[in-house]
Amino acid sequence: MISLVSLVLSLSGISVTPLPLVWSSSYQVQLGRFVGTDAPLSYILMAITIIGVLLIIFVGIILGKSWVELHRHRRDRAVRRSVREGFYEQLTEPNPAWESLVASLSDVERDILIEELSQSTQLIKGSKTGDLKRLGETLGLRDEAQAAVESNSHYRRLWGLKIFIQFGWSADPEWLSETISKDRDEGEAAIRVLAISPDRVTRLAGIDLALQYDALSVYGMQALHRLVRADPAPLLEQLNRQDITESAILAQLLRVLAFSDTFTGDVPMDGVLECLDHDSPTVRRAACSVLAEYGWRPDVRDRVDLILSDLFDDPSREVRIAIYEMLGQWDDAAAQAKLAKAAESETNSRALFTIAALLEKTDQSIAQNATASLRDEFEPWADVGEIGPPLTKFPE
Amino acid sequence: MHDSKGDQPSSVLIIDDESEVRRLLEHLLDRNAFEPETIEGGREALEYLQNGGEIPDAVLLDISMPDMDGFEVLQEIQEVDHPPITLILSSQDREKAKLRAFELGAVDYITKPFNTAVLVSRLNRHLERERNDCDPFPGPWVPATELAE
Repeated sequence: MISLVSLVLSLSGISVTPLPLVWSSSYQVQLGRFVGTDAPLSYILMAITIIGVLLIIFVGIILGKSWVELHRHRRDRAVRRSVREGFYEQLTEPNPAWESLVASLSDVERDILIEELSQSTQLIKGSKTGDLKRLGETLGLRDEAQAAVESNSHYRRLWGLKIFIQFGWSADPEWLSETISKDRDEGEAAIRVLAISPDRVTRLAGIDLALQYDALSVYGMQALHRLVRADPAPLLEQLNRQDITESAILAQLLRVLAFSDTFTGDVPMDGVLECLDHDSPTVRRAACSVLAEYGWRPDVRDRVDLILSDLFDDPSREVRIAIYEMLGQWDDAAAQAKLAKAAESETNSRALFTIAALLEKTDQSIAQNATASLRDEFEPWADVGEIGPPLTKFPE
Repeated sequence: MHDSKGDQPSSVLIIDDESEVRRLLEHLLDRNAFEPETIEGGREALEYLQNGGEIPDAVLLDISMPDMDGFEVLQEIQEVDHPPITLILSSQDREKAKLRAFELGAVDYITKPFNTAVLVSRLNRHLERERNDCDPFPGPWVPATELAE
């Protein structure tokens, strides 16, 4: 131990004279008590010396590293500024000469330019995005992203898909479906890539991808909506096949459909109409929200009319409310008459209130009944006093 | 873009906490013959304007900033002598935010990501209109019908 300490000290350039053992035993005892040990004084001093030397080495390493980092940071800042200026200079030109800019860059400068480009894709839109895309291609990012999607690493694949989305580069649906793994994150990102150039082929591929999962995340639903919103016919066709067994994904597809355009040609709505009889109230509700958008189609109206009395008897209050909202959205005399009829049998005050709000212009008496019903429901446990005139619309 | 005082370029103060936005706008405006100045935070910008700093011709102001809300900055800017025209440049695309900005005196609301050419064009148009409004010797008023002829 002592030889090791001597070695450390000699290497550190500190000369150590052998400890003079002329100290009185009382000093030694006092020092020992001070540091809380009965070890011999020489050991204590050696330990202190070692700790001191180690501290000096440690501080030296930190200072050295800081200096190197500072130097590197200064150099990086200058390089970054010069790359950025070159980038902005070209970007503000009508026809940027990206090839010559990229050719003049070192590897470090290229990485900096990719960072700047990446930030700019999130800031700039309009005609300049075409220039940014071209720079991405010149930098070889598209090839890199393609290679990343084909790699074995999950994170590399996600990075590759992100680059496709960021630059708005479309990808071949077949290649995409075959390349990505079964992981939901990848599937949803692939759907988002497909939404860059939506057409019938990409829509069918995106729906197939979505159906691989029990349920989508919010991001996945947004991606699918982006893909099908302008023409949801492929989604309707998929629902018509009635082969989706998982109720969560089925409800999500219906939700996506409800927020999409309704120009679907002559595609039958059988799949959605069948969902009105589904075991899951979430699916039944979602189906109502889709049908609410299709009140202009006689075939939909006829089919709903046939089962309307059964729908009014749905055990779920939320589903009944969705049915009333669907009729309210159809908003013609026939639909209003059906709503008024529903009010006669509806016993739940919240559902009754929905009907009242939907019929407020045509039938005030229903609104009054709803208010009375609400009062009856509240008074047993809350002193609400006089509720006032019937509510004609929901508070915001 | 030059102001009515002569050949001096119009000065534009960019207030945004995102350094990338500041840098991009600074370069863009500089290339389009403006005189851009950048400030990182709302509080710092107000201190500059309220303590004798040169009042710019226009301000490009972000809404979401850590030290001070863009709306507060906008409100304070309106209380400066000869307040500059203020254009909001924000990623918030909500109707409520836009209405509030206009109520507080903003002349325009541009959402991020933005079209660089459109931004410069809108800024030019606002400055031009501002100059015409302040013109002490305006030309004779001509009815729109006559202009059409």
